[in-house]
Amino acid sequence: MTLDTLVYPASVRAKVTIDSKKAIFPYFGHLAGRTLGLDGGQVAEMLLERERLGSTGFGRGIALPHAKIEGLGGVRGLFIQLLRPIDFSAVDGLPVDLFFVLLSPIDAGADHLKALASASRLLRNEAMADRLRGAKNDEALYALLSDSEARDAA
Amino acid sequence: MTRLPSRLVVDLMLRSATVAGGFAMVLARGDDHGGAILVQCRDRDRPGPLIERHFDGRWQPVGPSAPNRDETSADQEDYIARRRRVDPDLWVIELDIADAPQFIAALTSGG
Repeated sequence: MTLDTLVYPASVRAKVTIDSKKAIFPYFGHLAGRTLGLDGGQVAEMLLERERLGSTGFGRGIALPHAKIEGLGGVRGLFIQLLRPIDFSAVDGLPVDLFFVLLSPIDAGADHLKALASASRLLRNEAMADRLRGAKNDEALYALLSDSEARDAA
Repeated sequence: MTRLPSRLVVDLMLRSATVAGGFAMVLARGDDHGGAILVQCRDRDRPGPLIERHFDGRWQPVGPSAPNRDETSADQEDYIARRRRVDPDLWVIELDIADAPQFIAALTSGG
């Protein structure tokens, strides 16, 4: 499972300005609607429902919101870099500015687990997180996400 | 050993790992009260053993052992997916910390 099979150039966004946890879920839905042709409202609601069970903010400013979505053709990812971090009730209490949003088909049990584990491994690499924070635009961010996979495969 | 509800043990693991400078993440949510807990141990790029908390509260290694150098173990991933398929109550946690088995043992040894 590699991340560059999960994200598209269009599903990666740098320097996004969102000022609260409440406001970011509609944004995730909006982005999923535009890039994956999904019902944005439904995506936002499913992600929020999972978040209510416990924060997906796993520490050091990074969160991995995820949900299973009806009608999705495969496991897909969105990546969002915020201009300023927001409170996300993360496990270490630190505000979050890097979000990898993972959307899986209802029946994608094994692939869903593998994608979550891959994304989490990539993002908790401190050097990688620093580079993702430093990316100046969508293209640079996407290049980093795809390059990291080339590096891992080498 | 007193048997704590699964959700409480998972929360304890997430917070303790963070405090200790590691990472823990819920890959799959199980039953809050009685769900078994399967932990994929890692130490940065090195995969470690799978350790499971049984219904009596004891932790034991289960499934395929960790490969020597690969970043991921397909055998372990398949094992986790198979277990999860037959047991939706099972929690699956990825724990990335130095000496994860020792960390887990210390976590709940006080009851």
